[in-house]
Amino acid sequence: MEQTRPFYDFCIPFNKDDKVMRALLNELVELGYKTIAIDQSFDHSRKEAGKRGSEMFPEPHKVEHLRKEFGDKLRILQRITILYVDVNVAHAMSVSLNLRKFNLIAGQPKTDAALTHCCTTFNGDLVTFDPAAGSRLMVNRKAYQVAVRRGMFFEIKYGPAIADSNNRKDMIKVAHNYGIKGKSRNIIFSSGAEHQFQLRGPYDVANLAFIFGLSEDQGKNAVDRHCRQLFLRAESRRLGKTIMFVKGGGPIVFSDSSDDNQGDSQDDEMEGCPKEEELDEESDGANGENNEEEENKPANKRLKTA
Amino acid sequence: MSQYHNFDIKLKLRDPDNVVLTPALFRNCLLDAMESFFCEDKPVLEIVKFCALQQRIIFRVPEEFYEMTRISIPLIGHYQQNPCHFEVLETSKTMLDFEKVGENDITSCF
Repeated sequence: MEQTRPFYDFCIPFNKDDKVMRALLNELVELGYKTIAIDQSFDHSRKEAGKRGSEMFPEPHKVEHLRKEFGDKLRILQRITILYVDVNVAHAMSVSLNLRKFNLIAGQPKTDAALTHCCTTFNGDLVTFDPAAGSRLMVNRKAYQVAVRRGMFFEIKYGPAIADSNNRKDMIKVAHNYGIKGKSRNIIFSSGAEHQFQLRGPYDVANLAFIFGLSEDQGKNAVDRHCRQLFLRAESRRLGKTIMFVKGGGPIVFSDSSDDNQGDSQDDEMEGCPKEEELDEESDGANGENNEEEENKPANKRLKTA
Repeated sequence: MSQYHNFDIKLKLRDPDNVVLTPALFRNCLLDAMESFFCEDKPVLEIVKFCALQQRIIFRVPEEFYEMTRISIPLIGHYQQNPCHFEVLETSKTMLDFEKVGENDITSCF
């Protein structure tokens, strides 16, 4: 099982300047984050015409030196945010090999149709939005519910809310829309911080839940549990079919008489159910309708199958 | 039972040398942020302890303003047009104090 430790910040925009990157990561360590994702954006709507059909997504930036440097202090993941306007992105994503190199895939729709697609069929893990574009796009109830059922998460970035009060208003509007349309389920908080002064500690971030219309628990989950769930979902999408090894805590008992054990286990299962003979005796006195009703009871059905 | 809530705050400034850190300016910064965010009357904010050297402040607000203050602090991004980060180290209903510092530091704090 992939191990990750709380707290999480799944949106640290990539910066070419190593100095800035290091300052950001040092601040994250200081604030108590343990798992972060370095984000790079890709605008699918601005793709080159000649590249259609071939690999169009970029390779992840090289961050091995940062991984080595921060070692056990910080687990660094890589994320791509795909900005798109139409559903053609789905085909491009299905044939891309580079996408598999990213730990997380986020979709940033630019139109209403793209937003609905992002919630219902997008093969990613996260729905995000552009804070600079304002609260133009509002998710509808049905799309939100479908997204939650598919295990997708919605991201709220607090960094832009610190930098600019207009962004803050839009962010609150979007967050409240999530609350109205889907009770703020499957929400994660991330920073989207350009520099280290836009980062805040996990407890401060959890406290921002109040202004974003989330409950106290939802606020805590948005920086911890939901992020873990998102990570596991992303891993399962990336790796496809997997084998799971379950380690037992207690002693392992080997037995040759597997048949006997099976019989025993069946008996155990039936402990709570009345025996067939008893049931027959009872049913003799009752009328036919009752018989049918009793036969359809789940316990009796189990007896028949046994 | 105390009617006040205490906050222990540490400031992180991008250019600490170019910024004058005084209790009055800090108080104004915090009150302005709260006013701009909640558009309500400014609460009573009393600075209990202040240390320019450590860039730490302990202040208290009436209990009814606790949540408002707690939410406003992380959203402050600038102090005198300088990018900054107000880190909440501790909040409590009881009195707070700075951790033990060197003798030289104590003289500069009040």
